[in-house]
Amino acid sequence: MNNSKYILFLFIFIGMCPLITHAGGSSFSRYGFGDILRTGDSRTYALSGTGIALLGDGFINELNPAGLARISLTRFSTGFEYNNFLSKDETGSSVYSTGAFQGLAFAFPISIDNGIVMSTEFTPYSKVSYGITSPLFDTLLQTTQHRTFYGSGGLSYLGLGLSATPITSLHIGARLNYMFGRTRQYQTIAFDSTDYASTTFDRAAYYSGFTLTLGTIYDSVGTLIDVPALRSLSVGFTITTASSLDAEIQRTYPLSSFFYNDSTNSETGTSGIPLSLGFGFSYLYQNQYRFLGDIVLENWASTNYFGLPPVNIRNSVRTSFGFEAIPAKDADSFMKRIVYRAGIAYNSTYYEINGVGINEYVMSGGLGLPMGPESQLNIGLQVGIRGSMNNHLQKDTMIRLSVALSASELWFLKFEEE
Amino acid sequence: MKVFRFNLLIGIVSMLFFLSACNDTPNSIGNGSLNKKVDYGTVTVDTFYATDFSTIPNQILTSSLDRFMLGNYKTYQAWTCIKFFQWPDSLTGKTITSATIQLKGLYHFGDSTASLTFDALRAVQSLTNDSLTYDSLTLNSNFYYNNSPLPIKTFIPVGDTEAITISILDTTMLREWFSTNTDTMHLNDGLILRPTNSNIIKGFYSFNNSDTAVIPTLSITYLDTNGNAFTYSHKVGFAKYISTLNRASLITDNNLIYVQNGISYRGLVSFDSISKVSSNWPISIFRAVLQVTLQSSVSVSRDSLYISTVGSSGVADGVAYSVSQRDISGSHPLYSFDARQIAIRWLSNASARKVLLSGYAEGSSFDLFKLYGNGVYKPRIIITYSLQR
Repeated sequence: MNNSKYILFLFIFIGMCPLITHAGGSSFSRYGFGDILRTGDSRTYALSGTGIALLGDGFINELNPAGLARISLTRFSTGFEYNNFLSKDETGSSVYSTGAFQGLAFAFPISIDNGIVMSTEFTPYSKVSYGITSPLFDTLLQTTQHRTFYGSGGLSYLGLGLSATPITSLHIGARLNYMFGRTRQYQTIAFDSTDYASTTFDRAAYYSGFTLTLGTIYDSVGTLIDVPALRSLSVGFTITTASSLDAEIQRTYPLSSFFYNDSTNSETGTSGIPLSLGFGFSYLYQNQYRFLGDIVLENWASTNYFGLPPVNIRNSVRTSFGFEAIPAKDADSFMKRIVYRAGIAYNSTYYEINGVGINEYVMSGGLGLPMGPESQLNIGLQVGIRGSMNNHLQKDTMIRLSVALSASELWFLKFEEE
Repeated sequence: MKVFRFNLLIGIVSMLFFLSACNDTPNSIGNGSLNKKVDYGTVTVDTFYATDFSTIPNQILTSSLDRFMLGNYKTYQAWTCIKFFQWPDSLTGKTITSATIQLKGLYHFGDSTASLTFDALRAVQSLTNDSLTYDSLTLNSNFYYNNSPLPIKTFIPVGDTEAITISILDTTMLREWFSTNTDTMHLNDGLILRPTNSNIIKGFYSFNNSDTAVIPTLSITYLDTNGNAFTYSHKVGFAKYISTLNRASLITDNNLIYVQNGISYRGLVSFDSISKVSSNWPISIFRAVLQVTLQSSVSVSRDSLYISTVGSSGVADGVAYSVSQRDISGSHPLYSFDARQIAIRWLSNASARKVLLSGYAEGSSFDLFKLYGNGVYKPRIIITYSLQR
């Protein structure tokens, strides 16, 4: 087995490893489906998740299925993310860390001339991870309750995408997303008084359902409007349908060994995924510098959760910009072939807690290290802040580091060392 | 270069993997984002009263107790079944010339100064079956025992802890007992002691005691082949009692629950009112206290009650149980039980929201508890809980 295969198995192994974490993240992820992830491919990670209008051969565009149309070789990408949170509120601060598999994607060209490329991907969609202890004096019981709230899980989707280029410069794509996952909220309750028993409560929600993402990229706007300077300007548009996921909530009351079974009840219903609209542009300057911008709007406030408006949720708007310095095609050394990336993002997240909208600011940077023919090891670093300490809330400082591999079928071929 | 890149990748990924495996202990950061009403639920204390009650008979498994009873008092009757067996091989076939049984007392119910008298009847069927009841024993008397009393002499001093002595004068029966250790002919099914007195029931140590000085003892005198007399004491055996009571003499007030030890009668109390909570299930139950109020008791030697869950068949299933604590601070003595496990079961998956009330160690005495079943003192369960959605 050559090194390429070792690396692939290493990524898959890490992705399969369940990571034992307790707190692990921000308490904001208690609401909705948790933190909505928008990393895209390993390339777009360092661009602060910007890439709706990005079209190219060297990566799998997970933000817009129309972006697959230029892929000429079978590709795959996978990655791993280390996530560090510094959460601070008026009582103090705390640091949490987690690690997560970033997904796995494959793309297969079917007709290169017609831009027909099929893709399949498994991608995390949201993440719940928190742990909060909360004391409260109960005036009725005249004792202090100590509650600890844990949350874990999240949603993922399994996508099956297809792109095509029906006319020159116009690329379209569609992806059917099977969304699924489980979020779990676990609570322990203890009292200062021995008159009251400690209890636990486990609430697991299982979700499944389909959404459809449609996308288009027009890659020669300058030609269309007859402005030569904008010949390398691309614009992209995506729409992801709203959906009502089938949801089942299972509430479990773990019982003592006296009893035969834990006591559970379950409730079925639906939980809404909002309509998502995305607009983006990409401009390549002198074949060496790419400038990108995206805006994504999601109307979370109109969704429902088991027939009721979701708690602490509002509409979200995410705006991001990216920059990429691409090496010259004739670069002949490792250092010269490195891709440099940077990005910024402003995310008016879908959290609105205690009447305060939770906003997020992210700066990112990264490198694309050549790992072989048509293959890159993409390293991305995102640094951001989220929330505020108004209304007794918390402010998160986030540091996320991603290491991801984007490779083509050539990666598995053995070449003679230079 | 290729090796360098490979090692770089392995190094970075491994570092991230181990970094991410850190466990973070929850703390209060983020507490402010919790919605106290929603996330904590509402703590509620509700009282639910009994919706039905009855007094039901019960079979006590007396063969495993530390004592057995004998005597009559009012309409209470307690018969004793006792059997000695597993003789030493050296004694089988010996000529028995006399035998006495000594029983050590430890309890009485009734008039302590009254005398105890009884007949000794030879059992002709095995009496070890725990399901044997007073009714089946007396209705099939010729099947279970020889109805002609054996010739005996007794020495029965007054006093709870005194030992009584029964001299068995039927040496033919004794020799049959000792003829073999592999009895297939019902030669040794023991004795039934049938009380003939009227004012006292006495309790005696059974074989289920570790102190061999107090357990029943059979002392024999036998002859060897040379005609020499020897004595031997045997302490291996089986004893139990079978009791009865005239139900009509016990249950005289339909508003009361009767918990009668020694027979036994138990209280069966329904709490269907608790279904109000179950519509919100699951909930966090922090505390549940079941309370019953004493109307009066007689001859209480163990002032404690016991509750247990009831299965779909209506009998105690032993899944959850609790022993009472007694509170005499109010106008009426109150027995309180920690019923949290029972309440959880009732609210989650129980087919019957009922509880059986019995006396603690109900086979060890004839204590009677009369408890209110109706009115302001009727049984209730107080549940402290929090709704969780």
